[in-house]
Amino acid sequence: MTDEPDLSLVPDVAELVEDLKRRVAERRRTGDYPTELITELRAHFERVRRHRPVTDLEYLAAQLDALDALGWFSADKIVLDSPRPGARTAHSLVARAVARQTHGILDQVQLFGDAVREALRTVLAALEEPRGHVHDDLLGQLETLHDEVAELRRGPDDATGALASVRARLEAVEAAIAGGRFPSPFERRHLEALRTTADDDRLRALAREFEPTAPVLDIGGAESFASALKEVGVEVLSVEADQAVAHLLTLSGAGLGGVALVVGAEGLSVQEVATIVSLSFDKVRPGGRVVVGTTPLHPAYLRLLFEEAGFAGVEVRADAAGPERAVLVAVR
Amino acid sequence: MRIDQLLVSASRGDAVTQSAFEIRSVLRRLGPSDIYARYFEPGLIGDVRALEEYDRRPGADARRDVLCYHAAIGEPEVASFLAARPERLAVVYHNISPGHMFREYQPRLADLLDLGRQELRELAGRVEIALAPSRYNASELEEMGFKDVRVVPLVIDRMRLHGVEPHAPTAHHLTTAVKGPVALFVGQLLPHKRPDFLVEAFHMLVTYLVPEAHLILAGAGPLREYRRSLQHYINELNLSTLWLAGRVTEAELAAFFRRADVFVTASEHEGVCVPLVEAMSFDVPTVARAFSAIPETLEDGGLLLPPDDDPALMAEAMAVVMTEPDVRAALVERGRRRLAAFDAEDARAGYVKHLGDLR
Repeated sequence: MTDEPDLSLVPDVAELVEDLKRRVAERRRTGDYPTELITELRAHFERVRRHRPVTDLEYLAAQLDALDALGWFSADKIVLDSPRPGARTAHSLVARAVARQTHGILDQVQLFGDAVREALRTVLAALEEPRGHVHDDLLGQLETLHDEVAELRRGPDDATGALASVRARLEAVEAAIAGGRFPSPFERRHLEALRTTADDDRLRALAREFEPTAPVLDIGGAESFASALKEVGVEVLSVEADQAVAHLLTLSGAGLGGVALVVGAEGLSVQEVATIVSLSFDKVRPGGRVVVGTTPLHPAYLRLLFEEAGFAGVEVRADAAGPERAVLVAVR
Repeated sequence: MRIDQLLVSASRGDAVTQSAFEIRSVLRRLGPSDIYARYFEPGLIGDVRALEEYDRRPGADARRDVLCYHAAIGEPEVASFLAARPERLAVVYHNISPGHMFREYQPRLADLLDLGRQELRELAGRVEIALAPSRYNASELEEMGFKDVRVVPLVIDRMRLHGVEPHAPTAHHLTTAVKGPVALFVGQLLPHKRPDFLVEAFHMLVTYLVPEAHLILAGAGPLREYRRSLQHYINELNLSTLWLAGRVTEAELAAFFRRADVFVTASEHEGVCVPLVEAMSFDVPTVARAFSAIPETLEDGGLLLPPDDDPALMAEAMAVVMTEPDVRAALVERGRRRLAAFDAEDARAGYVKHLGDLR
């Protein structure tokens, strides 16, 4: 007996590779892998990369300096040497004969070159102006927020635990109040009542965004928002958040008056939101609206998605729920 | 007679600097030898000398002394210095990454890389011996016009990380919190190493083949925009078991290698791929694509995939190593046998022989 593994199990690495290729081909043949998967993955990475332009202004300045160092156009720089006997004399004679024209052309080229150089210097100065850097900074901030959202989404257990902990502490405080150990005007039931009233007002305000358009597909399917839409006279179709993409795909043509992601859409993944935005552009008729009150995405990133999808009027406003929240309204 | 070495820049942990230290220990068997560099970190003062000091080296004899240049990037000042030297020249070519893959992210770096190849070409006629740690590098040198090109294996201390105590918190996390098989990549997050290809393959692996798998990409991401794009891509694919570990210490690396079930690389340009050797030393089976010097580093010591562009094949390879114990065991054994070829003392002897020929 020996502990050494039997190398004959992989008699030949090349043979194993051939076997792996056969397995991949079989998966593709049976449809395990979507046909366009790799193309779509690469296109997606390309989109991510394209949103991160790199502007190295120092490099640009160095290139302009190198251009400056080239100096003036000059007839003196035209080489007249030649290995053939007498050719240098011939070149010199021709150069003298057309000197006026040569200088005329070089002067014009010099003027043009100077103007281009000056224009490039102006462009560089404009880029170096701090206000010109906003786009890059914004992308950085968006990414930080996006990463934080992704982190939060990865740790639902921790978030649930944190909420449970807060709730337990609140209940302990209330128990202390109920026991008469100290009085407080901030009881949870009062806060709940205040929040509910504020929520109703907010939902009615959001429902009014759809007043000229119908029907509205309400993604999330919460009764509270459906009621608010009906209250302002807007026909509503409800769909659960996890069914939204599939439902949108079944719709033919641009028959919707609007799409709402207001209540109950918090659990959508970033990719699902991106897909819904893209599909909404196809399924909502011109003039219709998409209103987003709750998603895992930062409003500025969301705006980018809508603009990329082709929506003309995209507006991010403060939400009635408070200054820390925002609502996005996009007009098809 | 002296044989000294010249680097553009020297820093601790840098592979080129490490190689220069190894070669210096060999050269000092033959006679006096120092390392000179145009740029070096303050911690190396005393161990590495400034370029300006070269003319003041003890016992200088310009007609007989040899200056051995480590080529890995361009630097006009060093190129002018070399061009003006009366000493005999040798080159150790570590390979220069392709500039075009960096241009989009750092055009200045791309310029320096392109310049490095240009400078090397201009030096070809003056160099007496050009040493290459792989046949791939050697063929590039010959293409550049170098006449006496010799392949000398890099001095790799294959057991280096075995003497390092694994970082305890990392090891604890990897054994308690990371469930399922772990694939490991070690290397900088640079475009020519194709970490994006590994992300694609891993996406297919966890979506269709081994849902509980993990992937750790360990290495710095010096191109900020590229690294951020990659992180963004990973987030959007919702690959919660893919970990961009960033720059890691040797202790963390030791912990990663001890936990890894498979080492993977999709790199398309390597002068030599040291992490493949380190993986083999930890009995970690390896999967790589047949680009540049990777086939000659790996030979049949691991699973060498064709140089095509199909991440599905990489995913399938990771899956088979993770889930089929017989295949895994056989690849580990192949790795052990291949590892025997990387003997540091043999490599040192190679440098003694070839640089000794210049005496």
